[in-house]
Amino acid sequence: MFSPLFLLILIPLAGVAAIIFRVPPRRSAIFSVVLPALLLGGLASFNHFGANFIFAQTVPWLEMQGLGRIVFRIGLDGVSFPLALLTAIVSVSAVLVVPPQIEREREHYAFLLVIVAGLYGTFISTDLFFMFVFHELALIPTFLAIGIWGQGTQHKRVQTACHVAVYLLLGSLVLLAGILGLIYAMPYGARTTDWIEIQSYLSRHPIPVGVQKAVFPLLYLGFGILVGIFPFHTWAPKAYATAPASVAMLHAGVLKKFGLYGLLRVAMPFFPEGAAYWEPWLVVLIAGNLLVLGWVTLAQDNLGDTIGYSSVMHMGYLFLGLLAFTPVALTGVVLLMVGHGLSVSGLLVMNGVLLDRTGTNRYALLGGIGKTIPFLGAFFVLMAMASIGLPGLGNFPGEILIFMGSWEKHPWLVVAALFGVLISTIYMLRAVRSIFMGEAGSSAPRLNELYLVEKGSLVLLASALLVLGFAPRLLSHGAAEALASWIGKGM
Amino acid sequence: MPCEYWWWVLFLPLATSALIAVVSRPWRNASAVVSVASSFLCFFIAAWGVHTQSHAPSPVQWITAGDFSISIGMVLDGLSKTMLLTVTGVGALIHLFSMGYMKEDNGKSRYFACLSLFMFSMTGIVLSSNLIMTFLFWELVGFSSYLLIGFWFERPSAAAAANKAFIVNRIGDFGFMIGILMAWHWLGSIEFAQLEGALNDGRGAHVPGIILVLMTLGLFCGAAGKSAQVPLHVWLPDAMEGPTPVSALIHAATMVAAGVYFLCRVFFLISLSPATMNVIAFIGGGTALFAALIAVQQNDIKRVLAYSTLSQLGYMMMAVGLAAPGAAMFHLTTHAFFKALLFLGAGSVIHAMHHEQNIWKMGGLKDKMPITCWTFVAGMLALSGCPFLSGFFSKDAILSAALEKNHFLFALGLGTAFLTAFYMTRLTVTVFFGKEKTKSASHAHEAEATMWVPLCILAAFSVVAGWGGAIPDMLAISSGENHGHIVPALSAVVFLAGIWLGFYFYRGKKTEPFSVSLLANKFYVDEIYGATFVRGHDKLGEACRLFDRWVISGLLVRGTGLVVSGTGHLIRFMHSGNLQGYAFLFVIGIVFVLYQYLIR
Repeated sequence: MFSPLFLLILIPLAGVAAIIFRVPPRRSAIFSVVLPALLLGGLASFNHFGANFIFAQTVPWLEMQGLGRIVFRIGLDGVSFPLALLTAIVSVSAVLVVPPQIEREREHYAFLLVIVAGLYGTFISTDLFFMFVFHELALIPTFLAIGIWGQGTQHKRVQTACHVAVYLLLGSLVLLAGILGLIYAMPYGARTTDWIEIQSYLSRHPIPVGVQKAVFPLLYLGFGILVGIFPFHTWAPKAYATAPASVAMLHAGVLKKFGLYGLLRVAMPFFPEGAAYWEPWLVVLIAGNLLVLGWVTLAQDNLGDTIGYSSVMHMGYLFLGLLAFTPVALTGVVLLMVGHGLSVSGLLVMNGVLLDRTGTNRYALLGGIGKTIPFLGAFFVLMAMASIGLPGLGNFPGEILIFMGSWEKHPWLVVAALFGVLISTIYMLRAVRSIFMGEAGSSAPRLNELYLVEKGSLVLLASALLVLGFAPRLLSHGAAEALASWIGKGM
Repeated sequence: MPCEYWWWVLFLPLATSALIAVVSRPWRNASAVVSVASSFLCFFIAAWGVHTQSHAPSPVQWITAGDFSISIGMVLDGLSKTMLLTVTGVGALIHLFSMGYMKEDNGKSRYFACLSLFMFSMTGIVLSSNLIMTFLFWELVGFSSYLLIGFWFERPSAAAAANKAFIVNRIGDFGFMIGILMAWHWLGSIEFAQLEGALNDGRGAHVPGIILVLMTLGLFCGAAGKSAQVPLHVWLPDAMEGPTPVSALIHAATMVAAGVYFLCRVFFLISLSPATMNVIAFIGGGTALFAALIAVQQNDIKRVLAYSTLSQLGYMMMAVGLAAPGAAMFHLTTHAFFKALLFLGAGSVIHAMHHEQNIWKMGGLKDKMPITCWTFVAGMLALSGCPFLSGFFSKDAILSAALEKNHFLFALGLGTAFLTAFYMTRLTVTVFFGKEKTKSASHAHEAEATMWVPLCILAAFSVVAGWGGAIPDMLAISSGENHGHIVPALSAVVFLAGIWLGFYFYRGKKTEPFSVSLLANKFYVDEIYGATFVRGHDKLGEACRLFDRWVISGLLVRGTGLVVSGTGHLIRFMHSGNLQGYAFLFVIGIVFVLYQYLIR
């Protein structure tokens, strides 16, 4: 049987091929992100993604001396389905908002499709090796896109691209060391990269405590750097402020979740003793994400940096939920990954629109846009509210579950997180006020309209946020089932 | 039999709001009609439900994670029914009034969409059956209030006021959430019914006292933010930047009362901690007096009413702290009627004066707008505690409780009652009586029927709401101990004294006869907060930014980069391609090896 999940990777790649063969790039790009999204939606309406991996399929790939078998194994359960869904929604809205007269159009769309294929691959693989490879596949076009289509002078954006590339590749290297550490911690015969098999092996033979203590920090930092863990976060705001909106959306909204997903699937469940040993350090780092980065965000003077810093700051809630590692908190982590991905994408769309219309995103130069472009104002308020955890929108259910699930183990860290919510209220309201309220600023928009595709992209993201906010049960139920079986077996 | 039609009371306003936002936005009048119709329909459904005594519908699961779940359910008891009728009834009248008040405004559709959204949120708090659902709607109320305060967002003052309101509310919610999490952790549930059950059958006995104090203080923190108690009161006066009907609905009758309502809802919990009860009583009493003092010296008609609202909310809080939640709810209900009336009357005046709000530019409006004037007087008398009007009875209930528990607070309450009568007389005399002080005052005239009909209905309720003990019956509480005639007699005396002094000082005056800058400047609280918290927090942000930029990004990241590239340069220097250079290094190497092997 041929698993339909392969199509999620193959359709975007087919789109790349079509672009190479000179099919109109925009049309083929839209087709090749909408089709997987519809496919995934269709699969979800007839199937329940819960405890088991469904549409699972295994393709043997390589057997290596000493490293064990590497198989390409795919499947979706209640934890990975929400992330695949997030990929679907964000990829459609990201492709829609690519500006019409972009330079080197074909490459741009081809790069986006490669990123999308990589994203789907990352979340449907149940194998560490392929997860890692797909992640890198999505990462490399990201660097190039920042350098080619980024904001600012060529010198500046190439510099940023290099900075981000070096940083993230170093992170990946640390991660690779951690993965090798994990594999070599198992005896020769049992070695594999398939984390379903690793899990069933480790549930019978846990890794020795000494090895856990040594390998866990590699995995945690490796995954963590890709997410923007404090103090290894400085690449992120730079990248998001420079990258073109579509690429920033795919990275901040979806690709970054790979690190959290890896922590959830691998680092935290396989190394419980290691996590316990390093816990005091993790607490400090998480507080750094929540508070120090919150205050840093407060001091930014333009929207791009505010979004970038707030996005890494919000990772603190997710790290907190992962550290607590209770079923409730982890369900919250899954929901918040989706909610954060949607809301930050929406904000990035609007940052792009603002730059396009007014030529700036500095607060001091803007003002009164709510009067001139009311549609933008309304959606900005909505996305800003989502990102600061207003009930009824996508981030709140995840946050509340994380707080409730983490209170028992880390009440002080939850208090810090709640204070972080307060800080994010202040900076987001400040952004709304200085851009959209008050009197007109010195940079007036050159066009008081949004293009239809921009509106469509925002409406898509906003509807998803509303559905998630009003009916989080749609995702939380399956996620909790999957987590129960995952943690139950693994620990 | 659970009755599913209760969901309509909750979700009809939301549907209306969505309908206006998505469909009828371009047709302003249609939006207004839809919103008004839905608000009245909501009230009628609620009234029908209360009348037939139908049961609450079965709860719906909002989020589930294994065994854990949060549901959306309803509690229908005397407390919530009274509050529900007040909210939907006063809300419907204010919707009607808004039709006239906002007639000319371009953003009418947006206004009514926000108003309906607010009704949804507020109804949610009233009907909520658990702590998380309360929190959910609590935040939504704060959000819709933010939208409505900032309705005229192109005005910088309105934008600032909206931000301030939302942020201060969220400071309250910070404590509120901690309280909720502690309750959940220590008592094992978020459902009100189960919490009460747990406390009644002794399962709460293991909770340490200090935890109980912190938990209840956290819950009170949320209530203090929403009900604008000192020190979180600063947002409410600024919230007057919103349209006046909004001030009537949200910042007088309903949203700000939510804090008091919530404390009555969880009274079984907070009453376990005497320390918290004391804090509540004293903060409430303090707020009552503090705000009444400020109100005496304000010159903006809406600000006088805003500080009066603060003061009355303080009264209600004090009642909760004195273990008289029934009295608090009684006063909340009567206050909703007469304060909504006063604000709408002020709205009518402001409308007639073309958005002039300074009371020293009004005067003599009695003959120009008689309906507004006499309904305003009815509201003012009810608020000041004129015998046999609604405010008199509800205030009596609170004062009786104070007399029983704490004489200091009783004296404080009595002093506040005197000040209330005084500043309301000042306001009424200056605005409605005497001679016109400006031209626009002499051109003012009564507004259309959509505006004065709600005034008359609210005036009627302000007069009769205290009669016959109807509201205490509905709340299913005893209307308090009977202390004979001491309390009514004393409050009648302070009422008369306040009225008399007000007339004595302000009759026929053209300007403020005496000024106290400490009161006129609201005890400089805004300035103090600005210089300490706001500035301090900004500085902290700046410090963190510099740390991030120079230490993390500069020293660590770029430093590492420099070390790497420096090493690279060094090695490149050695690989110069210069033969003499290689020969030189070769010789150095040989010397080094020889040194190692031969000389040592």
